[in-house]
Amino acid sequence: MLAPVVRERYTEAMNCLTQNPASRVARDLDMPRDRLSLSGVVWTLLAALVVSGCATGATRVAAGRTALEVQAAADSAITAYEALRAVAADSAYNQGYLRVVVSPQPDSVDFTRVPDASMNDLLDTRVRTCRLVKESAAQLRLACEASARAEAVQSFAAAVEALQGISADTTSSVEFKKLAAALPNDLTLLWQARRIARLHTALGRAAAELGTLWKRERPTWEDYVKGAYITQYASGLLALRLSNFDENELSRKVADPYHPGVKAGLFKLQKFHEAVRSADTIRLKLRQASEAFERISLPQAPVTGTSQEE
Amino acid sequence: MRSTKATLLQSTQAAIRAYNSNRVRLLQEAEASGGAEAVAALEDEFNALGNAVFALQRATLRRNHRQYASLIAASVEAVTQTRRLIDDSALGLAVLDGMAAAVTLLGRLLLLGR
Repeated sequence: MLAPVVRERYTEAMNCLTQNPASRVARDLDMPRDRLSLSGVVWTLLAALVVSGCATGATRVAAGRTALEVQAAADSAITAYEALRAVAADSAYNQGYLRVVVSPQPDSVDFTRVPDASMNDLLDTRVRTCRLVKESAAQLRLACEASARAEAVQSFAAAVEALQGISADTTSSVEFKKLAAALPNDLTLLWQARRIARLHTALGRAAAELGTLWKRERPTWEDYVKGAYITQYASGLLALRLSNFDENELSRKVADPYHPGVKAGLFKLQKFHEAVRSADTIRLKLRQASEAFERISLPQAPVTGTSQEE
Repeated sequence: MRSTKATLLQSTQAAIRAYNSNRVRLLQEAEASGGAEAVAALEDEFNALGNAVFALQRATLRRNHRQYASLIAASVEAVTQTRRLIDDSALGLAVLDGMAAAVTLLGRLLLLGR
């Protein structure tokens, strides 16, 4: 008994859809719940479709790409900042070491009295900013992926189309089939496209600003690393003389067949090289972050109406 | 034109390099002239130079903090907006999924009723 009733209501809804839509929608609002059948649903979707405006998959793809690139850049910057965080501890050890080995009375040196290279408060702010930008990029990617889930509701179109066939209502068949086929997919995309575009612009602006700050500060960080590892530490190794070394221990550390003076020079070279490599490891991370920021494809600025008058 | 801060930073770093390159000899001379106290005083001067360099670098970086603060605020707002969009999307998709299920069920009932 149920099927003929439903079929009748569906046919009625389809007729109203093409014949007298406005009054039908108005009446539907006051209808009892059991009469708010397919026509109400279709009109709700149609209204949403009209309001949603124009959208394309390109918006979602472009926003998703920018979000991915921003995430990579923020990640790379966080890695670099964490590497910079290690500089202070390395500097404290290296300075203490140097202070002992150059001292005329090494056993009485207070190796804790060394320059404080800590930048933790500054790094905390930068890491927090990068994490938030990364989080907003991750959220935008999720939103883009959710938008791409439109195909998950394609069964809606298929089911409506099946109903259309069953109802044997041919009067609205062409129009409704077009609407039913397009509605779920378009609606989902259109619904979100403007908001995604707006968030894409906001993320692009944040990424550009973060990139500018990174570019502006990189020379200072480079200088900081060079100062901590080379200027304030490794250059001090050059001051050591053979008299600072134990020749037997030096022979064990440097296997090359040279006299003690050369071995002392080679040992200093090894230590200098270690310091340079430590600095280079951090500099590499700084460079990688710069490259990641350069790879970000920012959203195109909207084209402003320009006069073509000659 | 280089800023005063940049010039100061450069000359301090040059002083550190010069001291470090001759550090053993300078400390030996200090010990010969004034003992352990003179050595400690010299090393403290060196520490002060090192600290001055780091302080200048910190000041340079701290100049951008207002921009980071506004960037943090903007990012928090963006995260909130995007989460809202995702929640709305999930809700919309749930509605559409529900409708699809309902319509499919209706179709089955109609087929059964034929």
